[in-house]
Order: sequence, then structure tokens, then C-alpha cells
Amino acid sequence: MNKSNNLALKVLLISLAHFWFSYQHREIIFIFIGVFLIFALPKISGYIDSSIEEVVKKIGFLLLQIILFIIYFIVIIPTKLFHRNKSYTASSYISVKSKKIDFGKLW
Amino acid sequence: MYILGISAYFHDSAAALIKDGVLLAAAQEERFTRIKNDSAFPINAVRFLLEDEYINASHIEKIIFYDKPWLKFERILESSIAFAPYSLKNFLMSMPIWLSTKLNARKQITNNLIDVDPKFKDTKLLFSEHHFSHAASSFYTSPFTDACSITIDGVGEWATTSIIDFKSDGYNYISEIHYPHSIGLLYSAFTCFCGFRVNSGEYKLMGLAPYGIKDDKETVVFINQIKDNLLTIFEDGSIQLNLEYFSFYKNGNTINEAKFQKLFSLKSRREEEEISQSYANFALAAQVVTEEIIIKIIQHASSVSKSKNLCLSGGVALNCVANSKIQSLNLFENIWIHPSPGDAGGAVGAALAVYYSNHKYLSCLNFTPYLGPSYSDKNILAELNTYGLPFKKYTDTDLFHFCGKKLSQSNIVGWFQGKLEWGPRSLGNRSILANPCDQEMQLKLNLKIKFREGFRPFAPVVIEEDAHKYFQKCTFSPYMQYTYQVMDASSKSSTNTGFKNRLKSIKSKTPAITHLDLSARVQTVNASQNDRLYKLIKAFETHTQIPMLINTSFNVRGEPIVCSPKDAIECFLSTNMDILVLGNFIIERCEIPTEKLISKRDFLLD
Repeated sequence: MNKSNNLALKVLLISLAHFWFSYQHREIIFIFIGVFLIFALPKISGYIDSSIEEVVKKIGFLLLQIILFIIYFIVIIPTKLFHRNKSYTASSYISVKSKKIDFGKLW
Repeated sequence: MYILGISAYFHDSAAALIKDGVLLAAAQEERFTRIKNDSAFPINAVRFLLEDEYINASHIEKIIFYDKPWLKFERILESSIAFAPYSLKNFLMSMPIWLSTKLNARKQITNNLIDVDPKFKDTKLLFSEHHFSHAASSFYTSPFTDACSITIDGVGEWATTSIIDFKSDGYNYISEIHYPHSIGLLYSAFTCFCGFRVNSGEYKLMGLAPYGIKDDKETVVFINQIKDNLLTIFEDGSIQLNLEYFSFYKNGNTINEAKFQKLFSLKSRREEEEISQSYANFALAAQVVTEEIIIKIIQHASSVSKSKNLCLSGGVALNCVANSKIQSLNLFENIWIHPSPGDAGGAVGAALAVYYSNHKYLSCLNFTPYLGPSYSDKNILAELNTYGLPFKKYTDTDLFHFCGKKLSQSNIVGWFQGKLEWGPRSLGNRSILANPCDQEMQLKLNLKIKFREGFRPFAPVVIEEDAHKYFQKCTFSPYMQYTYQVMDASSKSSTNTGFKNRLKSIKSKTPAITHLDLSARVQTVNASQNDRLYKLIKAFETHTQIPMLINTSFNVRGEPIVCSPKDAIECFLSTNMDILVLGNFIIERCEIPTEKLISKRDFLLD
């Protein structure tokens, strides 16, 4: 945990303590205990944090795969209908006599 | 004017630095990270280049990446369309990487460079084309002022083969073969079928080919099957692959295994499975067909190009057997192959290409492949003290005399000197050296030092002026790019005996470097090229009358060539090498306490 996160947690703990004494809401004490445990057990909370990140990443990747899958079926496959694979009879060389490299471009 | 060239994100990442058109330094990232064929952005290589020249990012006028990412993306997208619905897996695999990072190459490269030095700016960033970078790496380091440049590899953006005419003041593209019809991918398919890794095991296939039996019915059938079914070879050397047999456009696999197995009536070999004679015959068939295609391309290029000089580049230019066939054709008066013709060399080519787009090229007569990091005696000494190894420091004269004598007694020497070599071959600065006259040395080196397959051949390094006495028609081959027939060599083995016995049957003055087809991949050396190696071989000659040594890369299986004294010491301690020479320091294995030796070590498959 870096210094700024550490400070943020301390501020949060103090604020929660202040709200508890001011309003006496039961939910505040649960949040306070939760935050305190995160603060007191950095190894476990770090593990939980990286696990959450991992799961979110996997969900994100899965969503992206679903989107790509849809694009493949509604864009790529229909476009194939207009695409003809080249067939060569005597040579597969392609003449590129006027080709010049433009170093400034990504294409 | 400093220009930084970069190749990255595919395999063999590298960086190169040029100043006013002169190549100052270059290095592959794998040598620093110790990950073979590392594709990561070459942060360590860039850091080395800046430190070596005592400059920072503000001194760099231009940065050039070796290919055009958007053209590559276009090829992937168009291939997905062309091969739909079979391309679904490829599409789902490649798109997330492209969309998240590669498509925004400018930002990605700049961010990587900022990690090295925050002063790097994206406004200086340029992009070359993959095959143009290859071609430029060859021409702009050549001793020619005009040349026909041929690049053959797996694939760049679209091109898989290209022919470009270079002149001192510009270039003219002639023709290209486009993806998916690729000689490089075809050779990779053969490599994959024989159980070697694609993009790194191709040279093993080449080394296996001489074990094939040329007149065997099986070999002839394999050749015919390949030519009749896998591809069409046109008269001008261009090819059209029969895509039914390949999978690289579908799912990331190279071949359609079931179809290959059915066609050749041979099971696809798994890594580390025993290599039977059939695979050797297949390797020979693959080599024969590849050579036929390459020779036709060269013949076509000589008919359409105005130049009498040939520059070769691309991964296929590492096929030294094919290179020798090209040389023997005499279609071009001179041939030049850059010592790093693969993707790493693209970093050099891109940097030189952008410089010479505004300047006239006046040929390069003093090219050296020793372009990497070097280490002082102080660095070496510090490392030796860290490991607590007993050592002696010799004068130059004593060092050559001592090592020459030890080598003549069949000791194996780890030789670490000066600057690291550029390219995949060890050229005498990071080498394991041994006695080529020792019949047992080939197997000993393979199994006890390098921990690799017993069939793999070893290359000789020979004094240039004596090369013609030992190798037919060999005069100049400083980068191990050609094979030559060993003089007075013969083999009387039966083809039914195992590989080991066939190797033992070789009769030659230098059996350890004579391959089964009685050829050797030769490196010639002279005093101006590598003075210390030259003197060492001369010292060896005084004991043996043979001006030649075995020269193999200083590494073990699955590892890149050693870079630093630390890498060399670790490699030495974990193998059965007898002597380690770091500059003028000598460490003998027999003097090292047993507890210092690394007895157990895991090796990655290569």
C-alpha cells in the first residue's frame, strides 16, 4: 500500500468515527470495521484487491470476446461475400514498381 | 545526427543506433533479459545504446520503428474476411491485443521509450516497412553502391518475398509476393511437422536434412508430395500455397496436422520425441523444395534487375545451405548477407533507410558485427570476486599460448572477449571453442556442454588465408552464412545404422566439424576482423598444424548467447566446459571447489 492510499484510509477511518458519534447509524460501524480490517491486514486486503482486478479483467475480456464474436458474424462474414480470393495461373508476383515508403505514416 | 532503430513486438526485438549514416551499436533484447527470441520492447537494448554513446534522448533526432503497424492490422483484418468463417479463432485471438495496444503503436512505443528516458518525444517517431527494413539492413551495410535486394521471410505487413533494386541515391521496388503465399511460412510448416519450434527451430530442420537419404524412395515421394499437393511453384519462383494444408490463417497453428499426416503417411513429431530416419528424409525433402524455390527466385531476380550485386535478407537468408547453392549459381558477381538478416536486423535497416532517404550511400567497406556491449577488466574482476572463483591473469602472449595448448589437448574453452556479436551467430567474442580434430568432440559438445540434440552439427572458424586448403572454393565467409564441402573427407556408413554411428564413420582431418553430407558452415577470420581469435587459432595451429577451431555459441540449450561476464560464469559453472577465458582472466574447472559448481539446472526447450 502506498503512502497516499494509507492516508486516504486513515482519513476515511476518522470520518467514519466522526459520523458514528454524530449520527449513531448502525451501518457506519460495519463500514468502519471493514475499513479497519483492510487497514490492519494489508496482505489479505492486497490479495483480495488483486483477485477483484483479475476477475474484472476476465469479465472485461469475456465481454470484448462477445462483442468481437458479434462483429465477426455481422460484419466479417457478410463482407466475405464481396471478397474474392486471388488465384494465380503463371505467377504470384505483384508488381509494385511505383511504391515509395512514407516514413511519417503508420500505413 | 543520431537515429535510433527499433524492432519489437513479434520476435527477436532489437535496437540499433546510427550516427550520420554509420552504424555505431546494436543489440538484441534477449541478450539482456535472457529470454530467447524475446519479443518485448527492447528497453535494455535502448538503454545500452544511449549509455554506450554517452547520450540521452535529446540527442536522438529520429526514432524509427521497423514496420508499419496499421498495414499489418489491415492484413489481419482482410485475412479474417478472406478466410471467414475459418478465421474466427484467429480473429478472436488477435483483435484484443491489436485494439488494446498495437493499433496505438505511436503511444505504445513512446511510452516504452519514456521508461528509458522521459525526454523521448513521439514527434520524432517514424515507421518503415518490414521488408524495406530487411532490404535496407542488407544494402546499406554492404560494400556495393548498387544491388538487387531480395527479402524472403514468413510475413511482414503483406509482403512475404520482395525484390528491390537499390542504388546509391535511391531504390526501385520491382515485385512482391503477398501473404498467405510465403516461403518462410512453408519452411516453418515443415519445421513444425518435424517437432521443432516455429521461429526458432528452423535451423534444426536444416541441420537434420543431411541425415536424410537422397536416393531413398521415401525422400523422393516426400518431394513429389510437397510439390504436387502443398504448393504450386511457378517458373519465376513465385509460389501459391494450397491453404487446405495450413492453419496459420485460421487458428494460430502452423499446419493442418491431420492433412499433413495423411498426405505424408507420417505422424507429426512431438517435441523431444525420437527422430527417426523418416523425419530426416522429410527434412531433406523440405530443404530440396525450398532450395528449388529460392534458386528460381534468384534466377528471376537476375533477369529483372540491372545490378550484378545481390543482397539477401529475411529469415530465409539464414539458410546457409541454400545460400551456398545461390553462390554456386554465379548469377550475381557479388553477394552480401547482413549478419543479422532476421527481424532483429530490421532495427538496423530501418535506421539506415531513413538516413539514406536523404543522403547518398557510398558503400560500407569496414562493417563489423561486433556492435554489442563490452566489459572492462574491472567489471570482470568484480564478477569473479562475487562468485569467489580462483583465477589467473595472463599477458596476451601467454594467454594465446596457454589456450592454444589446452585446446589442442581437447579441452573445451568458453571464450569471452570484447564486444558482443550482432546477429544469431557467435563470431568469436562469445564463443565456445574446441578441437575440430577430435572425433568425439561433436557428441561431447552436444550432450555434455550444450545439452542439445546429438545430431546437431558444429561450425568451424578457420584462418582466412588457409580456408581454401580445407574447404572447397571457400575464400571469404566472415559471418557463417555459407556451407562448403570439406576437402579430403569421406563417409562410409551404412544408412541403416543410427545417427551417432553415421557421424562416427566420417573420415576427415577435422571430423568434429564435418557434417554427414561432408559439408561445414564455415566462418573465416583474419587479423583485422578479430585479432584475438586470429591469434588464438594461430597458437592452436602451432600444436596441431590445423588453423581451425570449432566455434559454437556461448550458451546452453534454450538460452540466448551470453552477454555479460556474469552470464558467462553461470553458463561455465553449469556445464562441463574445462576453461573459461574472460578477457585475459583464466578460470580452470579443475581448480574450482565442487560446491561452487551448479550441478542441477533446468533447460528450456528451444
